[in-house]
Amino acid sequence: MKLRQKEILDFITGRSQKLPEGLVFPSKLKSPLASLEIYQKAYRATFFEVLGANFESVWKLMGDDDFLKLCDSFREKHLSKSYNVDDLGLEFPEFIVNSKWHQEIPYLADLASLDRAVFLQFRRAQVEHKSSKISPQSKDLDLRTQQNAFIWLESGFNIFQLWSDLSDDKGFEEIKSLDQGVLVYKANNLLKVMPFNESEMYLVKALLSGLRLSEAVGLCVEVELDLSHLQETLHKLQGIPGLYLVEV
Amino acid sequence: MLGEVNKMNEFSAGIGLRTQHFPHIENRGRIRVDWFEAISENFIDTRGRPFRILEKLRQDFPIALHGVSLNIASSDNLDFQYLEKLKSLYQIIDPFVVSDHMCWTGFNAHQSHDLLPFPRTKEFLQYICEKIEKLQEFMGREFAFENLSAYFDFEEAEFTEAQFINEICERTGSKMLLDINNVFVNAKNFSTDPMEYFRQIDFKHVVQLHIASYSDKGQYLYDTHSGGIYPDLIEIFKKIAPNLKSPKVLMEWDQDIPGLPEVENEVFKLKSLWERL
Repeated sequence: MKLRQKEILDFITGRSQKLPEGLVFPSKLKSPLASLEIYQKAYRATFFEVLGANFESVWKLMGDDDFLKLCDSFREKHLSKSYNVDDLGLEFPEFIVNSKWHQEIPYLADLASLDRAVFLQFRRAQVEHKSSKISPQSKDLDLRTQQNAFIWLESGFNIFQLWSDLSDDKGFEEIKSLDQGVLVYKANNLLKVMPFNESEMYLVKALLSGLRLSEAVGLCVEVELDLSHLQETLHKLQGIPGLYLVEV
Repeated sequence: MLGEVNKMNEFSAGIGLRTQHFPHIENRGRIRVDWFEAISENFIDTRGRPFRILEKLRQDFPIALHGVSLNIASSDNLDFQYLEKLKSLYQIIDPFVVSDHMCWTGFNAHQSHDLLPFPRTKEFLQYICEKIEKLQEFMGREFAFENLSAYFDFEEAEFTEAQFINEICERTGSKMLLDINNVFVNAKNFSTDPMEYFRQIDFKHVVQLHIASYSDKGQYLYDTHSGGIYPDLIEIFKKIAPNLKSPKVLMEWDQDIPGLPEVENEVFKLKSLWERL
């Protein structure tokens, strides 16, 4: 039976063109192929539906035809290994990076990563994280993080604006090359997507890497980043679930 | 206090819990059905909003948990990592019925995300029974298995599906989730008599029923769950009703899903029919 299940599965998922033998088909269908095509179409539709639902801004950016081609290309190379159909898209951004679409749309994979972060934070939350109440003062601070409470992304494009325009069904503005950080988290049942400009991004990144505030600021000064809004940046970090600023 | 199964009426009506109906449930909209069925896989990997809604709903209603990934007829072994998660969900929700499909969905850990038929032979019967026994022992409870809508079958089949499921229930103590729509779709596609299937079924094993709609694709019927109940299915229900004791009937609606009251209306068509019989 192992061999037959493999033959059937390979045929349905497009990995083999050899029609499995010894099967019986509905009498009105013109050929055995027509019967298994029902499953082939369903398999293709599953990818399109799941990826469309979880990567909505990528879909909106590309339009129906190109997004379907991208999904088909992903399906041809990607074997689903999870019982959970929603896991289908977990490797989608990495797939895009290695695809021809990345050459054409260099920010597409970053947009997909943001969609994936939204999906993971909003729809697959494992626990409800609580907000930190410690306020950043003038003393030196550490940033302590709780795993999976938020997702931090970095892009060389103004990806947040693109994502929010697409999410709101607005026409999007010109894509700019611009270093940007984005923090995705959930608070009080609401999804929060927070952008950080170049200076803020380096500061947060340095803190997330384990540096103390004074060390992180020193690093930013070294590369001549504008830190005139330091307090403002620290306040932005305040209250984010799973992210704790502690005095040391 | 949790919703209890023993509060159910003689005919108890259920509908599938779908995200489209979350606002209705959250806003405390009127609910007339007796119970809900939730898809297990939608809740085992999250403790976010969907899970909270399911927990909230469980306060007032009995819940049946229905899976799509058990993969019982696969040549693969049982996936105990998946079963552990399922077990944990069962402990929280305390479902009154747990079920999946009599089918395989993947092989060698590669998923088709579809419900696929298998050859109903004596050898395979023995194989599946052993797997079900291991499953039920590990989970500490009995499972119900749903008959399949399938678009191919196997030349070497030695049992009809009804005979095969009867035999499994007898040998393992598992139960049947009888999907009337699937029986009808298969019968039409393979040019058999749907009533012959119901004559073969031992109704003492049936713990739940599904009713849904299909799409006529010209050359075949497709099990799409995309609308209200067709009259031919209502006719079948009328014929099999005398065999049913306290039927727990669920209306499945998975595409072009309307508001919750409209889905409820469909299952109430059968309820009023049952009450008139």
